[in-house]
Amino acid sequence: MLPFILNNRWVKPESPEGTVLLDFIRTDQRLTGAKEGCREGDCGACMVLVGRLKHGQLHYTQNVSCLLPIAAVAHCHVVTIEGLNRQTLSPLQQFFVDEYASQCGFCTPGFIISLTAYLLNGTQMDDEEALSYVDGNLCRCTGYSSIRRALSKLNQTYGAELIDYSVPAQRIRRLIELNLLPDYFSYMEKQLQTPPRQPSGQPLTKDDGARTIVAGGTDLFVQQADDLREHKLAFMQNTRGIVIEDNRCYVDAAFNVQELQNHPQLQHHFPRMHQWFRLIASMPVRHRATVGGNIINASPIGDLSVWLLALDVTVVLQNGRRTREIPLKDFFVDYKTLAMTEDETVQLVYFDLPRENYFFHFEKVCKRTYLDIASVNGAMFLRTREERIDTIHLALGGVAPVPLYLKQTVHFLQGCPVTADTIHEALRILESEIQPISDVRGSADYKRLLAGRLLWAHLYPYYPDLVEKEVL
Amino acid sequence: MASDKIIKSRFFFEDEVEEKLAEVPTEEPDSWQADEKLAKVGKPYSRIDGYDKVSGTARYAFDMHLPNMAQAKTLRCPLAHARIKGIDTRKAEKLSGVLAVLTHRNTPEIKWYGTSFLFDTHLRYEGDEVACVIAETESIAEQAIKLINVDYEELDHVVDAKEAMQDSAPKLYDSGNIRNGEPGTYSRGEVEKGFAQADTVIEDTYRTQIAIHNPTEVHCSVVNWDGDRLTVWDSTQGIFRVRDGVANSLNIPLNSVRVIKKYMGGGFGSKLEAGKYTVMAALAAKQIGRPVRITLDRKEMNLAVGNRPDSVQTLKGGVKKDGTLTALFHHSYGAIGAHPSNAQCSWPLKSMYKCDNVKVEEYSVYINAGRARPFRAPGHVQGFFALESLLDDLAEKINMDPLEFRLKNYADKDQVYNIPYTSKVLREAYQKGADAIGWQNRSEKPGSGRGPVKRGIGMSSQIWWGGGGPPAYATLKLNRDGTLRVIAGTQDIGTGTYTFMAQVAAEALELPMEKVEVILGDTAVAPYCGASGGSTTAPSVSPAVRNAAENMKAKLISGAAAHLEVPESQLTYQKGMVNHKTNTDKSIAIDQLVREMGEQVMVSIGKRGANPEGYMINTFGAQFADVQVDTETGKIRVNKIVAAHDIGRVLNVKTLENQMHGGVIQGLSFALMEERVIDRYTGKVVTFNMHDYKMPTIMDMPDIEMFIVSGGDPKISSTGVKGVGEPAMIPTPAAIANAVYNAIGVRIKQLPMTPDKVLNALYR
Repeated sequence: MLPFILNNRWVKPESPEGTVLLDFIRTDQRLTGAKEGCREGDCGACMVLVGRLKHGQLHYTQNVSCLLPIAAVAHCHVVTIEGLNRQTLSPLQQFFVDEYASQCGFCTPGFIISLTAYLLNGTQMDDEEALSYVDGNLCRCTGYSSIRRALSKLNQTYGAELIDYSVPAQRIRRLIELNLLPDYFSYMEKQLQTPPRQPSGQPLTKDDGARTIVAGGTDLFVQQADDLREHKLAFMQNTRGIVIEDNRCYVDAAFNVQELQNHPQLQHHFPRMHQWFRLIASMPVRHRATVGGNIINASPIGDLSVWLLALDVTVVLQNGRRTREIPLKDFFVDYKTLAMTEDETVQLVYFDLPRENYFFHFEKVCKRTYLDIASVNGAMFLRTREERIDTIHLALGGVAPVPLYLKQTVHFLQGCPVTADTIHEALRILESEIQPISDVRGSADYKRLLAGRLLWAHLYPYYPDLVEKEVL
Repeated sequence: MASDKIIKSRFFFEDEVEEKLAEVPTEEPDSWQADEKLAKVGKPYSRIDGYDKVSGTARYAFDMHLPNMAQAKTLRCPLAHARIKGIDTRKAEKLSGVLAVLTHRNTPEIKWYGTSFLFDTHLRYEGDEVACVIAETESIAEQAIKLINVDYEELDHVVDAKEAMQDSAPKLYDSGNIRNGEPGTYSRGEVEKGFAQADTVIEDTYRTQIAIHNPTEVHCSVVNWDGDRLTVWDSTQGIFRVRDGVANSLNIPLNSVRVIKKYMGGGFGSKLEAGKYTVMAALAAKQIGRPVRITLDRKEMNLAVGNRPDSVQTLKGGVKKDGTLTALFHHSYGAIGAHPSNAQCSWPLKSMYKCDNVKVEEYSVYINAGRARPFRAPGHVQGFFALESLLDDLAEKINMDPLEFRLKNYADKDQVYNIPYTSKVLREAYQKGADAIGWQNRSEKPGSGRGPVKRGIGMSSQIWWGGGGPPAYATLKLNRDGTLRVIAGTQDIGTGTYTFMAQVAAEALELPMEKVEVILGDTAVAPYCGASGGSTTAPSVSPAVRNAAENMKAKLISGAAAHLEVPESQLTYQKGMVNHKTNTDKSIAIDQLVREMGEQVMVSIGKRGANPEGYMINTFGAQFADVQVDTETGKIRVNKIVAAHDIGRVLNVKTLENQMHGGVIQGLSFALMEERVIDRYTGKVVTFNMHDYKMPTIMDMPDIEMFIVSGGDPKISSTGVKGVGEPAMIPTPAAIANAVYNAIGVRIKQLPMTPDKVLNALYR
């Protein structure tokens, strides 16, 4: 196993590389500050910071250690609550005490870690941003108000000042001066640069057939952590990132969802993207989950899949030196069945960036606003020319065995004017295209009803008068 | 304050009367008066265990690690109803690293749930214990579990209370599926006559779901034998209950079992007794001669360690045009799971409002599912949802403001026992809450708001007991440097018991908080206190601490008298000093005095006094909700909750707010999200993880405004404290439901009010 830094020292795990980090921390290292609440990435009690070198700079993100195989943190800096403790409490910890943000205390270390990630990375330094860093931390007993106050106090005290420190190393230095991080953080970047850095895990090459390929693993390790323990793992490498050429956007399959959300050019094209992406899982999960993994997982209710379908993306598959392309709308064949062979891997997706006169809208209906799996989700891309629909893409999740591109509805709407009659007819076609089933997220009837309501909801921001007249 | 006596003490623990012989003092210090100015009690001290919690050094049972410790995991029945025909553990035993496999064949027959056993061959629910594997690691134990081959005879199952009540339903017990074979009943007055007097009668049926406690720390124990003496570190709300349960099961003396709990990650009622897992670990640890740690995983938590029973409540209410309630009728049934428990939920209807004619009939029904346990205000959360929904509908029928309607039927004395309350400050709660939510701006015509997102305001009342009572004892130890240790056999389940115990002791002895340390949660060193449930901990144990402190004062005066050679009557105690009333030279600081006693530690004991005879002790409150409902998607958003409560004296506003807001969010969660779902065809739970069993995150939080309208209640005890944990949650779902009705004009009669129910109610 490749070594990593745990708090302030190098460790070289002897455990199998598929062992999840939480087990290594708690059982091998006897550091019990990180708690186990669910082993599914849903509670955040096991949150750790993971620092990685990116272009020579050390970047930290918060990760749920229960879904993170130790091979994925090779040559990284892993920080647990023990790694933040000093003789006296840090101001962040003290705010938690003063504002009584800890009741039973079981979830508290996870919150402290997530908010430390915020201190390291926050750009707006306001309460809304701070809250988004703890969207994956569940507390069953305080009622959260006190936690909100603690993070407000953090912003009031340090926010304005930290905003000026945008270079990671400088931010770290300032946080150390403010006693918000221990001193040893100052030499972690150097530590990770020597020994010479290698990509985490093993690079993916042809002879890796015996290895299990892992992208983010955020679903895989929920389902199969025990089985994967003894596996040799190979990690998808994000080598290309996002490239925009001739108005076409290429996204590496290993690009993670949080990076996608933060991408300035995409935000420019989809101004509400930030808001929508916050509805997808939680920040620590988005840091790990990848674009390619989401597609391969083929969840009928995958938020990102629905999003990508409405952008009409093309998937680029690779088998050795051969590549081929397939539209995403033809990629999902049946429940968890994909139009690809076992030898192929998803390398890229691409789509054309929209130009003027377009609307893009995403809706997700679930019990809990954040960190939930949708009952039904949907996305719409719409471009009009001279009052008629020039291009439209509609996708729905949760109404079929696959994330569904509504081919017939789209076909009908092409060229039509946006009128009540058109939409009513489109809804009739939509009804015939979907086949929802009853499950824990809702009855088939309800999902059917919702599918129709979502089309109105997509249109509401752009055609409020039409929608109000027809449905309200 | 020398002499003590033993009385028969009765008070409500959870929703049942607990009766125990208890030693009480014959004399107590004067109660702190309602508005008494106190120096420490009521002040916003931060938790004294704050450091441990924010630094992660707080060690929970889950974190305990002993040298040479083995790990245990449980094999649970994968079927809803089955009988074990055969079990083959040979493969599992041969797996390298496996130390023992316990089943019904190699363990003593230990009684459980009255008629069942630790390992029963008749398995009554998915999750029933079949075997326990002990191995070097958790991972090996998990692997070994998969190697156990069980030959199950699958039996017909029933997972719905209504179906289970039919004669044709599969039987969990020979005596049938209705617990005790008959409903629980209650009546006062003549309900039919009452309905006849009414101008308006409404009958409706309301449903609430099964909810799971899901504390963040799973149920777990670490056990270790030293010869015949057993130490158990357990995540529990009741150390003495665990001690007794384990000792009885293993048939060993009580003084051989020591139960320790320092910190725990929540319980909410699910950790009030000894679990099978603890006894299995103890049996295994004895067998292999090593310490054993046993933990449940999240799935087991959702199957096997308790839930709030569901309810189908048919309520009928009669009212006169002037708003007088003439009669109330409650019929309900609820599923208690596979073993004895209780699904009653009529207390709100019986006790909240003045009504002379009341009749109740309620069934607790066995089904093939995990057993119900008390869950934060058992019965009341369900009962209030139905009662307050009905009340709002009645008010609408007679064109009366809902709040005015409640005031019209305000109960001035306990309705069930016909005795006065020690105190009731509910009118003030109504007033404060109504002002804060903007009740006067509430739309009188439900559903009349414009646009797709509609706003509404609603409210609910609340009653609960939470007076506590004896027995509860505390010991104080005063060191020669003037530092004090408070020791009691209660436990801090996260609620702040450590902190308020220190405040009460520091108050009474006029010491700085830094001088006080608190030891709780250890049966071997601490005097008895009850389990932490029913919102009884603070009202039961705070007077014991105060009384112990007063006894310590008396001792210090006696000691000073001996040392200074003056009569006790000339001395008074003040701020860590014993002073002579007239001669200032004859004063002595307590650390100096205790130093005179050499290395001795001065000890005093305090006991919770008896509750006043002929009074009912209740907490009261009202909550108001402001919600918005998106009629396109059916999503409900709670904007604000105002919680105004009568809980006697406030001990600490910081820990109080945690309890209050924590209760409100659990109420909100019950109203909108949480639901255990069982597939009726397989009888299996489908919501067994946090993906599918939803609880709120920080993003779901409404604004919460809190008012405490009460002062201390000197009739109850020397501290005048009532409980708060449960009252906080009780009215929230009902207030939200009434606000939703006010917003959309359609009543959702079933919880949780998920978008599908809202949308279906609006459009189908």
